[in-house]
Amino acid sequence: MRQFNVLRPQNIDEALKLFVRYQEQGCLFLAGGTDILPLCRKGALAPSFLIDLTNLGLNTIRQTSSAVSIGTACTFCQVERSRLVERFFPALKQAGAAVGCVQTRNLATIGGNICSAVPSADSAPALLIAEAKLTAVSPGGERLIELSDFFFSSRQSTLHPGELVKEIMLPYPHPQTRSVFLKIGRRRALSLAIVNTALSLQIDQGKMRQVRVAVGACSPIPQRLKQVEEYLEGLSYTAVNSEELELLVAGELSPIDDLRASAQYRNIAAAALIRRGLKQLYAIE
Amino acid sequence: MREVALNINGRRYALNIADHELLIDVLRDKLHLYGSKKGCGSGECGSCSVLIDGAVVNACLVLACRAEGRSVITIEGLAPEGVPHPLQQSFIDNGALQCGFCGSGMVLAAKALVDRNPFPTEQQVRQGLAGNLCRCTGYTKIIKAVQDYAVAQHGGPHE
Repeated sequence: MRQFNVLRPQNIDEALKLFVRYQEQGCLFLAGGTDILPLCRKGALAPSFLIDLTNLGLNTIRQTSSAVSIGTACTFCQVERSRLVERFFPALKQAGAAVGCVQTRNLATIGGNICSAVPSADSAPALLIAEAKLTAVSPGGERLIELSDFFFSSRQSTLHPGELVKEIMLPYPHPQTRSVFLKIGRRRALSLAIVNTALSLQIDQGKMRQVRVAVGACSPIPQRLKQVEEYLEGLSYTAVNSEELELLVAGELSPIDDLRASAQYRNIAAAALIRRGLKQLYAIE
Repeated sequence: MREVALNINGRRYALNIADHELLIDVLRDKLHLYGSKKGCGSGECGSCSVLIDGAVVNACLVLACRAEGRSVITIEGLAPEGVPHPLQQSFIDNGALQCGFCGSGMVLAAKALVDRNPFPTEQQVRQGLAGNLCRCTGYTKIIKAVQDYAVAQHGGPHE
């Protein structure tokens, strides 16, 4: 492993200043390290400084009057075990539980997952359907970023260099909202998603309302499928036409062929997962 | 390099460690605790699993300097020397080890699982051990060993 120094700031301001100071020599923010450290070991990343974010108080999950706030340094074990997440955002709990394995989840953070901006980030679909907003801080101040504006391309977000995301705000959902997360990977654990999806809706006299659908790993960025949502809005489960759903899904996604799956498979599998998710949502008591 | 205070298996060590050194390498190369194995080095096989403050993590993903002030347990620290921990005995009694390479990580992951969930179902055992790969046994006897241990420790959920 190439050598680097680890810096341990005691507060966010210090962390931001350290980044500015060492930016030219190459530095990265470090949270769980489950993504960055293997990349450093392989030589794909070669920072001279890593700025440790785990002592900045960003590891709590709390309620505000309008939203649940998840600190970006919360591990996936914390997210998975949180009563607040379970109560308001079951899809996010399921997504958290689907990341890697227990060893990964004890280290990996939800902030790191989002900021890696990998298309297959398991937390992304559930956060997108919850219309999450990120609070980003930089020496210039704070700004709120809609998660849907955050992902730019594969492994590229719209964060400026030296900017740090400190919390994820999830507005409280409508009380009757049901949500679910599904994932297809090579194995049942320790797998990158080939397709992942999160769905939420309410069911009003058998018809779907406020349908939200997000799919990851099938486009350069995780995304909401607005045309699919429009199609499903007001329909009952039995009225969903599978062929039409498949066409709409394929129309909105732009998957690639890669070593895990073909683009064609991803289109078909995404539609199948969405159908499966709808079935599961209808089955909730 | 800096002096880092590590608490490993209840003993305190003051070591000179470079920031980029991984915990798995410090455990093996500096402390000669060879029970934890280095399989993939990228957090995908679990053979380096250790407990940090009771939580099972891959030591190949932990910078040693970040383990300062935390309690680290390796397989050597599970039980006093010469006396297998009941969980280890259950592995032996059930024939759950062949080459043994996955064993230390598997046992520690199982310990963390049962410590958190005293009555794991088979599915929960599989999920708790999903981060530990075994190329020899096909997992059946491992799962049974963990379930037998949990029942011996805590009884079944309906008892």
